[in-house]
Amino acid sequence: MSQAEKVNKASKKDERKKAWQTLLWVLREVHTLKRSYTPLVLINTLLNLATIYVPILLIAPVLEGFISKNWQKAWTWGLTLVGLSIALNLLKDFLSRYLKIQGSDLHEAFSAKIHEKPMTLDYPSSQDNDAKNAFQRAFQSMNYEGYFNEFIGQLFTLLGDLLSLITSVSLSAVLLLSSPKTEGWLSVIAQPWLATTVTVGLVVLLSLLTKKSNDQLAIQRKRYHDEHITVETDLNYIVMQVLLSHGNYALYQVYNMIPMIAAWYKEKSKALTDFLLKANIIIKREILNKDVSGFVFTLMAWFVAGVKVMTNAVPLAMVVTYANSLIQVSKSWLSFSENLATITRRVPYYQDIQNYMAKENALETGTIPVEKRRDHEVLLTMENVSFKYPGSDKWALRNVNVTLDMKKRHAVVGLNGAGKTTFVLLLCRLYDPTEGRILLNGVDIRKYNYQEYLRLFSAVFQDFQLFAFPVAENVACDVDYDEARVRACLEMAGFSERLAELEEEGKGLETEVASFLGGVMHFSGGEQQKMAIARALYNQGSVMILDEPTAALDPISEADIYAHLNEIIEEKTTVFISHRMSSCRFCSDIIVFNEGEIVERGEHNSLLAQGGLYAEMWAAQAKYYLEQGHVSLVEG
Amino acid sequence: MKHLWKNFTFLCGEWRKLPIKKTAWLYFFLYFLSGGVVAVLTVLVPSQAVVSLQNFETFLPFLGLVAALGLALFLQNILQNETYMLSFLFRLLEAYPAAMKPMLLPAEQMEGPKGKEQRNYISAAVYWGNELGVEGFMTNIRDIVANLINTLIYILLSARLEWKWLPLILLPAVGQGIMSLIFMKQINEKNQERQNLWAEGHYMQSIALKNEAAKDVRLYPIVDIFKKKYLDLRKRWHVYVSGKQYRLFAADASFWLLSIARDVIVFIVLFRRVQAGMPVSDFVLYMGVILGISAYVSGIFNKIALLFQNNFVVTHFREAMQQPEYDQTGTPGLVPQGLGTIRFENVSYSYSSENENTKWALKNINLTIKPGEKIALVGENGAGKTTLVKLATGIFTPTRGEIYYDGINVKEFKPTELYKKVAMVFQNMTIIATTLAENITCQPESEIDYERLNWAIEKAGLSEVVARLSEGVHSQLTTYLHKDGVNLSGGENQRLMLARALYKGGDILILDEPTAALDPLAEAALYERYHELAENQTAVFISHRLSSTQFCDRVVFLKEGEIVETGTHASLMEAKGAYQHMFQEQAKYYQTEAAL
Repeated sequence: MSQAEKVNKASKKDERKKAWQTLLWVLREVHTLKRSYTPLVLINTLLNLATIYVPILLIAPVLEGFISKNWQKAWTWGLTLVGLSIALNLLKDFLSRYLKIQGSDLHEAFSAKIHEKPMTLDYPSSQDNDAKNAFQRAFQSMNYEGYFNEFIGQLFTLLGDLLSLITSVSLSAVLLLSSPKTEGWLSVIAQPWLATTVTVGLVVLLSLLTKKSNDQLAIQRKRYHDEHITVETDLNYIVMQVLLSHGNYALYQVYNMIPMIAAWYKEKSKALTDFLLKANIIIKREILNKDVSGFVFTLMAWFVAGVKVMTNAVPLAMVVTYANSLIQVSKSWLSFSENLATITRRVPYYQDIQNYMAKENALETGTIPVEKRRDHEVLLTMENVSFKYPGSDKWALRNVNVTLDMKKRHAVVGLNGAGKTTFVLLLCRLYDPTEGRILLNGVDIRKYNYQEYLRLFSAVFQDFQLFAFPVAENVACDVDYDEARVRACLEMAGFSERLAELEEEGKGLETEVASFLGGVMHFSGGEQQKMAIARALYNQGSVMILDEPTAALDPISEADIYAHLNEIIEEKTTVFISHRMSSCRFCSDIIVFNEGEIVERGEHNSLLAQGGLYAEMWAAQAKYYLEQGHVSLVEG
Repeated sequence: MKHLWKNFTFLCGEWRKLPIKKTAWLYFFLYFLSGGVVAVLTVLVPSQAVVSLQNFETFLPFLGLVAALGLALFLQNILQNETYMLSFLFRLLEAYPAAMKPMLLPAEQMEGPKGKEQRNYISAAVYWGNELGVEGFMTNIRDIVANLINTLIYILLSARLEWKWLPLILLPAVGQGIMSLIFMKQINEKNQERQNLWAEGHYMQSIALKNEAAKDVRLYPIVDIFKKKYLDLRKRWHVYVSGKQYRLFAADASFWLLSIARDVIVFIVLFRRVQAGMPVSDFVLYMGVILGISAYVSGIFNKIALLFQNNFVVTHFREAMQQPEYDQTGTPGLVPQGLGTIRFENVSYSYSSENENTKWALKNINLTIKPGEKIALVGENGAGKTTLVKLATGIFTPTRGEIYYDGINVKEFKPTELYKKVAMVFQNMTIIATTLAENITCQPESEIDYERLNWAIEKAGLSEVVARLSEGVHSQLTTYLHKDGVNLSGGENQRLMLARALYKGGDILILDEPTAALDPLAEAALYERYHELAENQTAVFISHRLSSTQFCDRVVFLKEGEIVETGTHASLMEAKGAYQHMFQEQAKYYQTEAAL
């Protein structure tokens, strides 16, 4: 064997091993999520077998009774056949409906589990479109190829096919090996060895032919599937994010974007329909293979059974039974091959999901507990930190050295893209620095328990999200909330008036913030911002991060927040990012970023005196608020 | 149920509009035909088997019959696949007009709760898989018709034996039918619930994948609440599914139990006939036929359950699709002339329909905006600024009162004509996964005026950004469809929105918080250029940064839906009213020396 062949063989062996592992994984998952499911499917399979074979077997004694005018026999077996058929069907019906319920539970349980995963992975992976696409593809494959319940169903159908094969072969063997009792050329055909050889030969020939054809088709199918998933994912984006998304319709109409979007959609849609038509050709060939084999075999089955009967090798009453048994041989064999091919085809998709579920959070590197300190003594230091976003060549932060004094308010300012938000994302440890390190109370933050470290921060980001839950649940991030605390936080955030309105309307704290169909309901941007602030307060972190906390607020609400700042912040270390320079007045420390580096630092008046970037930004904004006679810049 | 026929004719109409082969109906017809042949031969073959094995001469024709059955089965399978594919194709092609529809309906309607529901139904009709929606509907009908035809064939066959038995044969079917109808009503009442459960599930899943939610999801215990909510959702799904399946089973069970009675009676009668001399082959035939009727009728009722579910979805889908498009109102050919005066006369607006407790977003607005005037619209959150602007541009229609453009009532114009005059920058940033050029110009590549594009980019302060990109204006934005796409920052996106408005031009420019994400220097640069940007346009500027009002000719102050003050910045400052108070609240931080 050549080296290449050896490698190929080894990799095939490896593939098979992995496939078995995936299979076992699926079975384990199903067992964890719904213990009763697998046994039920097994029972269902056996029941299905029974419904096929009971009539086949029981028809014989009935016919026998009629043919030999043994009325007693015909009567008892006939009634048994009728009764048993109905009973089996009733049972089958019940079980299949019960399975539907269990299957739906299983489906939803797994759906929940798989969707939890992206949320527990590290932040960089949530922003990485490759990782997201891997998830989407795995999920789309499940939608297209079937969930676990279908997969288990198929496994057991495979088992059922095998059992059916064994049963039908046994019955057929009796037929084939029976010896003719008459003379003539027919009896030659009916000889056990001839009948058996021809039958077996035909089965083998048909199987080989169809297998070859089906293998080729399987390769084509796989290729089309992969193409299909890509097109489907793209189309899904256009449909979900552009066509059916909330809030953009006025824009599309006013800017007359509709022709452009229509052309775009049509192009992708055409790709999908083209794929469908191509895939259909494969399906038609598969049907052809299956039915031609079935046809040939059925004909042969009745022929052999008929000849055997005509040569008295077997009694007439058995003809229906034997013919159907032979037919079942080919049917079960074909079904078995088909199911095996389908399962083999689906294994890679389940492997994708298995691999995805096995991913770990890259940032969970530490174990030191972080106690939520009531005294909020939290000292954060950045030591020579530099950072590049994944996949980017540009330094977003360069050689940042800063210590945030405990319990003080720090403003972080700079032009767009200077690195302010990046600074804060590193502080919270949503990203790890590319170079340098960050310390909490002198210890590298990577050593701390990750989840506990995150809880140290109460953050309101610029693009904060509220969810389709009641107001109180959004604030508390829990279904069981401390009502008094929720109210206190909302009050500090300036939401009391609106809350009173909600209570008048009836639902108060239980009012839904957004609907499942998309879009926040009747809360303005400012009201939403106040709820986000309340949420940050409820969290009781020691470090507050406020990224443009008043961007959506009108001047009155903004002043309101500033007025309550002392209550809101209390003694927490606070980091303010804002383009509204006014917020700097509340901070004892102002850090000025430019192109990823800290260029200035100090308190307001000293920075103004320096006449650098800060002074420039201040002046640019302040000048519009100054009237004649007001002096704002420090003299000197 | 009464919508069933309307839905069917509607979908057939839609089918005809699409590029699906005209001979499609032939495939369906042949499918039913082959199904009928299969039905007959399936009972004929076993019955003839016993009889034709007397000698070889009768055996060959019997084999012929077997061959015919095989052939018919083959045709039936092929045609079943073909008809299934045709329905699948129908759904995919119909998805295009379906998905386009929300964009063609009045934006006002689409932004509201009704619009969201309609989108959900459209989604369900064409995007939720093969079993549900328009495809499921057609496939269900196909299956029901096929089963119906086969049932009729079997009934005819059994009537040949004894037509007086017809009621007996049909008894189990009738029993199941009655039970089904009773339960169907109960199941259908839950159809809306099913839609809601789906919507909730989709929402929960979208949280997991939403880029913007990723920070909050990690910094707050969102995963925990997600788990609890999803668990609750699963419980409710279980209740829905089990309720439905148990009811369907009750209907099935009645069928099977009645069938035992019927089958036993039929068996006894047939038995006596055989004793009296009827050939065994006939016995086999009629047993096969009567058992077969059970199977087909049962199949009909199973499919009817599915059909009702799909019918519900298709009904709502049809209603959405039959809605008039946004461009249906107004006089064709009527074009607003140049820069016109915009006049609001006693305009009031409510987001919900009028009743005693109507919450008015705007009340009795009387406002005249002169051509070329630059208005600053200010007020507290929720005062109605965005609503006013949407009314001025024709996106919303007043609940009460009239709006005049150059003396002509705005309702007289076609919305498309009005929209040609308007360019706006709204608060939410909308970037789609296509090139920078297409995002700004909103036109396909072939239509782009590159000179104008570059002018707009320069004026919006986007030139540096474009220079930085390796593919310039042809760079793909976002990474949704292209791995190496570019994600612009908040400030850059905001400038892109402005470039879009500038490229469009028009007579009316609306800027809603256009500097919210800009740093102080970029903001100042925008203000400096403001008059230049909106040179020949009427402009409305909404901003919480009151510094911007100085560039406007007039300030309009809204409070709780009413105009409380209007005038120049200077005159309002002197008046020391609501505007001056608000201005001071913001200005004070820039004016005092001492730290606060």
